[in-house]
Amino acid sequence: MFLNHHIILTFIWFQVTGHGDVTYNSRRNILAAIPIENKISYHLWRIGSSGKEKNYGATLLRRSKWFKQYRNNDGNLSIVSVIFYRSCSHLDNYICGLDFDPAGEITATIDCNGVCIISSVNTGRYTYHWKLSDLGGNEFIGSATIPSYFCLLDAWDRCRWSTNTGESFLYVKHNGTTLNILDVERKTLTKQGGIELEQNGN
Amino acid sequence: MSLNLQRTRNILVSKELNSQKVRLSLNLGLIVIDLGFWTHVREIPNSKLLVSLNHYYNNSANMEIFDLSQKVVKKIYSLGEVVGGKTDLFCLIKLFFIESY
Repeated sequence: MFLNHHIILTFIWFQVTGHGDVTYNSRRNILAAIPIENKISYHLWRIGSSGKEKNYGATLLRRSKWFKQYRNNDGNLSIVSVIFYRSCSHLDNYICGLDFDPAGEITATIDCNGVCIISSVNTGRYTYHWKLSDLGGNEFIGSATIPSYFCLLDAWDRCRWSTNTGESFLYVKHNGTTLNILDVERKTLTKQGGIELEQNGN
Repeated sequence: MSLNLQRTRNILVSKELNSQKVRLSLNLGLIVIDLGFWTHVREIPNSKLLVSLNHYYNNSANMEIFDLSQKVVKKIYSLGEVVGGKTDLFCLIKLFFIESY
């Protein structure tokens, strides 16, 4: 046996939860975290207290479903990638960032390929999405010298709502060093092409 | 913020820094990239609760909530280990190929 137990598990299962993110809304006392690839966009909890002694507790409200609008990296698997790279690479897509709007009514999530999805907190239903990056991770699979993990556009995509009252801006960092500001109400990008951030440190 | 809360947060943050690691293994000439553990901690405003979230990139995740209002930190919620995602049949087939080879 050449392969140890851990690596065998890694080979067989690609159970991807990603690096994770957590968000909390004080107005509604709700918390979202733990996405699971192809299954769950996020888990939603209510944090509350009961009784005079403030006994806090958490209740799992919903497992919000995975949206089909997220980019599917398994779409164009080439034979090269299957034979040479499938066992040593991460052809995954997962949720990198999530955030509630200040009112706690809307959730924004972004996957590691730059697809940002707006959905309702109450129903979990899809509202709108942006494809912020044109390139997909799997477009580089044929270039056979790099593990396809590096083909993820940005494993550290993040999205954060503006905390200013009356604003519907969503700040999104994607594609490594690109910052975009989305106007969720008007469904537009405030600056086409985005703002280039400095390398290393943003 | 109480001293107790601050101390606990320091411990958790230090745990977070220690646990962030990237491991690279060579096995049969294949490169296996293991991104290790990633931990997040978040304080719940207007309460003395701390959320601790642990992600093991390609395996599982779990979440726990701690009540820091007492002298002894009390765990009030634990989701338990969450696993899921997709089963990779290609990897399974290739594993058998490698093992028999």
